[in-house]
Amino acid sequence: MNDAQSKIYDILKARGIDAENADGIKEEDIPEASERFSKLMEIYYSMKVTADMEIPYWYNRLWWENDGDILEVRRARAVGGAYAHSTPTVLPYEKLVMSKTKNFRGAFPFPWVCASFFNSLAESLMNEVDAPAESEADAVSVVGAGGGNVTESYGDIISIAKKFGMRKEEIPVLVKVSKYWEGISVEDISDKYAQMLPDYDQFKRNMDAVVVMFDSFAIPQGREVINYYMPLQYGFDRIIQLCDEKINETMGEAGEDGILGMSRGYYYAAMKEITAGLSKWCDNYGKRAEDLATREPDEEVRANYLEIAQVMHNVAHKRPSTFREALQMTLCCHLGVVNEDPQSGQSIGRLGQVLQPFYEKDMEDGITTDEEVIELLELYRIKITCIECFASAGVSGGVLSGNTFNNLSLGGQNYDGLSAVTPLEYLIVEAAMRAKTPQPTLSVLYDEKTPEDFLMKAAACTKLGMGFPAWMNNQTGMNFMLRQYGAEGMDLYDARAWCLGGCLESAPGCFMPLDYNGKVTMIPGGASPTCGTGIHFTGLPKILELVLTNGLDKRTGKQVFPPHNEKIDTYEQMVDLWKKYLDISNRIVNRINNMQMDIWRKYNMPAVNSLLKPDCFAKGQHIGNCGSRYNACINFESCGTITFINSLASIKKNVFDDRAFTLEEMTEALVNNFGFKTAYETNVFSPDFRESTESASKYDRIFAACIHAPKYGNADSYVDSLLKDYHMFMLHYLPTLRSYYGKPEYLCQISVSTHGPQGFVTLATPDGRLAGTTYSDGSVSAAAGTDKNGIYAIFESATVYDHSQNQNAQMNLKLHPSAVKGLSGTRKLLDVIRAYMRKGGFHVQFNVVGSDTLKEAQKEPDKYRDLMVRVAGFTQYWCEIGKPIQDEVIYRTEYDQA
Amino acid sequence: MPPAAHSPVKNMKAEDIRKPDMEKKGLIFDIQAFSVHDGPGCRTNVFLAGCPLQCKWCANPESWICKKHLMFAEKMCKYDHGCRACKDACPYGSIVITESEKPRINWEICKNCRTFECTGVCPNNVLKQCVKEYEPEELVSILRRDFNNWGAEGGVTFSGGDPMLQHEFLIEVLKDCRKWNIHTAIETSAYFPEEIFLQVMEYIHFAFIDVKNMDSIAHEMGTGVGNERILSNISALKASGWKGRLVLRQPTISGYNDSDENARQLIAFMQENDLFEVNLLKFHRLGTTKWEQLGKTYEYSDHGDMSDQRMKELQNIYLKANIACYIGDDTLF
Amino acid sequence: MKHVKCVNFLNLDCEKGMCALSKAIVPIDGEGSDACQSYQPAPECGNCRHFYDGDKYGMGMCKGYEKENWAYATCGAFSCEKYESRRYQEA
Repeated sequence: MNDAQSKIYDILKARGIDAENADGIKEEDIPEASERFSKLMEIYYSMKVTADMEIPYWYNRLWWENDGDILEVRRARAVGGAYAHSTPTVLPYEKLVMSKTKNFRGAFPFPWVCASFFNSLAESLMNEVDAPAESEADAVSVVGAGGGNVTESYGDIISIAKKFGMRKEEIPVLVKVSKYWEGISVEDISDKYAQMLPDYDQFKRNMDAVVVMFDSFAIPQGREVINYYMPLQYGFDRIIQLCDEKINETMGEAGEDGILGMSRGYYYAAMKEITAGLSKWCDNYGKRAEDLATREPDEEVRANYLEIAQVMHNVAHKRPSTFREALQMTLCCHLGVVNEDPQSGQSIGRLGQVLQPFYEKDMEDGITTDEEVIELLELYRIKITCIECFASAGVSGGVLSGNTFNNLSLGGQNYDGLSAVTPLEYLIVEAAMRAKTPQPTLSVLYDEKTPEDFLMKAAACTKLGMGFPAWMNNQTGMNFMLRQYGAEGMDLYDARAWCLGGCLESAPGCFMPLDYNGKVTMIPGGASPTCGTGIHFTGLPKILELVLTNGLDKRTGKQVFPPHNEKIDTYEQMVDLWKKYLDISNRIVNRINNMQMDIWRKYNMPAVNSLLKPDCFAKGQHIGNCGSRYNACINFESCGTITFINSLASIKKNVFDDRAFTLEEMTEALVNNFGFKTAYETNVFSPDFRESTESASKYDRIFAACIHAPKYGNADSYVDSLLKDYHMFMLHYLPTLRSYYGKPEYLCQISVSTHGPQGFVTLATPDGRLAGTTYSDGSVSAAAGTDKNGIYAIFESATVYDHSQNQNAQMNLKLHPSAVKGLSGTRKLLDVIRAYMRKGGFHVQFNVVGSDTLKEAQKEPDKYRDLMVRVAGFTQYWCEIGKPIQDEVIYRTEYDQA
Repeated sequence: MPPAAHSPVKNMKAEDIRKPDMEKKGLIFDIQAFSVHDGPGCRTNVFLAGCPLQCKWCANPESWICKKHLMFAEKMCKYDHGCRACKDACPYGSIVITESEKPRINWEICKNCRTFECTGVCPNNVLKQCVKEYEPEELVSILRRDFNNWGAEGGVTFSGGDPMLQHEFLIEVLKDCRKWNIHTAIETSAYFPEEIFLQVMEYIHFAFIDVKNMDSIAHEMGTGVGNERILSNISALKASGWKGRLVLRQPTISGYNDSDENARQLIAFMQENDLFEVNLLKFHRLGTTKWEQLGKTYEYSDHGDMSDQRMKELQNIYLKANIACYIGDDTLF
Repeated sequence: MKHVKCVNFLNLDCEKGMCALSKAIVPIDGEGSDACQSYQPAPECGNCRHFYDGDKYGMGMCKGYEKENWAYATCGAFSCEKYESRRYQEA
């Protein structure tokens, strides 16, 4: 506090105004991150995203060497054996160790899931390998634009999927491994059977026109919450013993289940394999740390290596007996899961509640301090930030923006229905404030019972501009759980265990009894498979476009849907046609995605995750065999909701109510992009950029009417009621679709980054959006620049339906930093959050950053290497996201531009 | 840009500018949600049209006129291919398209417009209707809705323009605010008959009153009116036993009111009246484009800037006199 | 001899690593990629006595396990229980 401030307090105090306690206090300065963190982050910033072949090589070798064995055992042996063979890297500044691969930001391809991508590249990749070496000067890459992404080949490094760098000498290994899987990867087999469907062509046409943009097998796991209970409760050695006991009990016994009962024995045999693999993986890190210690000249560093060695050997065999060991154990399991499939959105869950008993005991025993715990949590952030996902270019760049959404949730309610916030969770937030990294992103499960000081701390973190914590409504989430999983026996207790899987996918959970420190603590964790595969990313505006064009995709000239050949005379008729096309798309896409996931679960069933996820171990069934407690988790995912709703409103108003022009005239204007150049021609994807063509004046009147039509987000019931109608329809329609688990589907509304690519293929829309530009982001954010009545009006519009009808709703807001300055600013931010939560809003997140800064960063990315922004449900480095999304974030309305 | 002589403001008589063109219905030129610098907590800020002062540095010159009028954002016009939408829409022939393919406005015609046909046809909102009419109930229903969002401390702030100019409408709304327990704040020049001023203030919990200059002649040069009535109203308010919180505000402008002497005089006045809070707002030039859009020249386009150093010096003068002096939005409310 | 082939090389990414002794970031290719006097060979398949018949791409055979299989020379072998240094055997 400076002199002027304290003087002001004195003056006010003398007047009976207690400002110091009331308001306006300067917030505490945020301490610097630890030295270890800073050193490792310095390395991080210079890291190239790297793919290598160690794990794929060993997976492939072990898979084929076990040819003929029971599939789940064969799979576990290949996964576990590959981990056990990977090279452990231990860096001198680390305390927590382990990573996906030997590299810092490493990943690897999964040709057994999807081989065609690599096989089609085989020849060109080998040509690159055979090309003569470049000069030495070319061997050095330029850091800057694109961050750590290797967008093109250089020197001895080959770019794959415009993101990963792979060393030339490993390319022949990639080519050779991929060859094994030609025609038999999950992708190939499911496609083979999909082709038996008469409507297969319809599916292909959907995908080619990008009505739907995603295959489920591309990232078959994730968008779920992991569960760390088993290893924390038992430790790996004891789990192996338990497997033996279970094998003794179940092998050869069908129990009551004549179909799956017999597979229990094989499940436990597989779990034994995978547990042994994880254990050896940990031991190897311990060995490497010991090895480095023998050659380390510095005594302090040597001691650190030996400490790491001890922790890793303990974690390899015993149940954790300190907070550090427990954290290391969760990290091991997390990496174990994310390494067994191409994955994003494998969420950490409510870690601060899971690990609280360990933290509490260490504090009681006086063997650690808060500062030490914060340091570990800082180092943990780097580990999670380094988790990369290797999928094809379209998936990792286009959909995920390079993020893997390892979400960590805070707050909510505990088993007893009280606030679940733990002392450790304050430290998790503190570590995130000090150690600025994009992952893990934090989510607050806001409940009326959540302590105010915790909310203030979380709001102070949100203000830092990293985009997290995001804020989710705990009651709305619990209500959705009971609604969706009630039929499977979800009760109030389990409903309390929910949290976010992936960026915004509410995932069911359960509490498990952790016996530690002389007491039993009910710890929450995930209890379902992925809550984020199914019919994914259906562009709602694109389907409307196809209704107007009689099913013909004007961009590609292909007939996507059968022509309806109807003259559309009423608004209702048009909406009915939209529903009809949506259903045509959904029926076939659902069946094919079901097949993809079914082939996946037969050949590529989760190994590590099937050990961890309740009730797999209790039932003796892996995740593919409905081993999880809850399985009604597969969904339909929408994209461009508000663009769609605004388009409906514009047509309803201009064509059917005002009769200002006909639907045919509107369609012609859309096809001609209202007379403007398209974003493809201009390469500017911002919605406010327009460059006219010769024919522009022809559409002036229609364009103006579209722009001036009612827009969602202004508390205007004309358009908001259309959003409500849409939701009521989806609520009853989607459960008529059944997943491969035989359960009803539901609505998921996270666009991730797909509003970029899906907007890219969509003509101009009746709301005045131009061709090729992004759709509105999220599901209840206003379309950029159309919210004229302020933040409270958006809240009003967003909550015209009950958010617990769906898995999620997404609200992105951009605030100017000056609006939330100081402690009173934190309060005001919390006021805004609370206001929305009270109205039943499910989710809100903030970019607290000025547009000026973003524009500068777009011009000079080098200077803004550490700038982070919130995109859809995640935080990413500005320099690592694509330009269309950058443009969209800049154009988003900023509140309180002081 | 049209010549300044054609501006809607300069050619109007003072009565035109200051007199509302209807009673009870409010003329409002903006409602801002999540306003965080104009009173305690999160607020909704209602900007009422019309102002008895015409400050040369004003950031919201469109707020001077207490009637519906046009704003013309020439720079936002994106057409160069012969768009005639606005010209075709205007039934009064006020808009012509120049040789450079840009629309030009005849302010003489536009200043009397009540229909604004041109504003709905432009996709770029180059032509915008400023000021909308609200029934008191209409505004109150928005405030009651926003009440959900303010949190414990927030409420509504009436500003402008000067909200007191439409005191009949304002009092109607304020009565309802009292009925619904809505916290009220006001930003006013206090340049009104004492009776009206006190009548409005009775419903106000928190007030900002601008004292632009302690020297009445300088005050008149900068704002068009002297400061006597303002100062006497403040004294009358204090004498009336009003229970609200009063913060004086001063847009601090280099060469106009940033002298030590002005500060000393204001301090003396505050001490006389038992006032202890002042908020100095560093002059900013955010209003520049708005002056252009109204077809006016902006006198303060190149001077008046304050240094942070000088702001601090002034703050110290007040603090030494035991007056809580806030700079900009670094406030304690 | 290159840093990348040294037992003190800690993997970072496709173009660089860290020297466990000096803690310096060292490149895999080009200028500065040559190892220092403390060089000791890292365990990798190419250095293993079970590895044979390597071709121009470094692809060869591994006879370390029950079932013989193909392998590649630059594969890390720190974690391989069958790894036996060729150099050690020769000495």
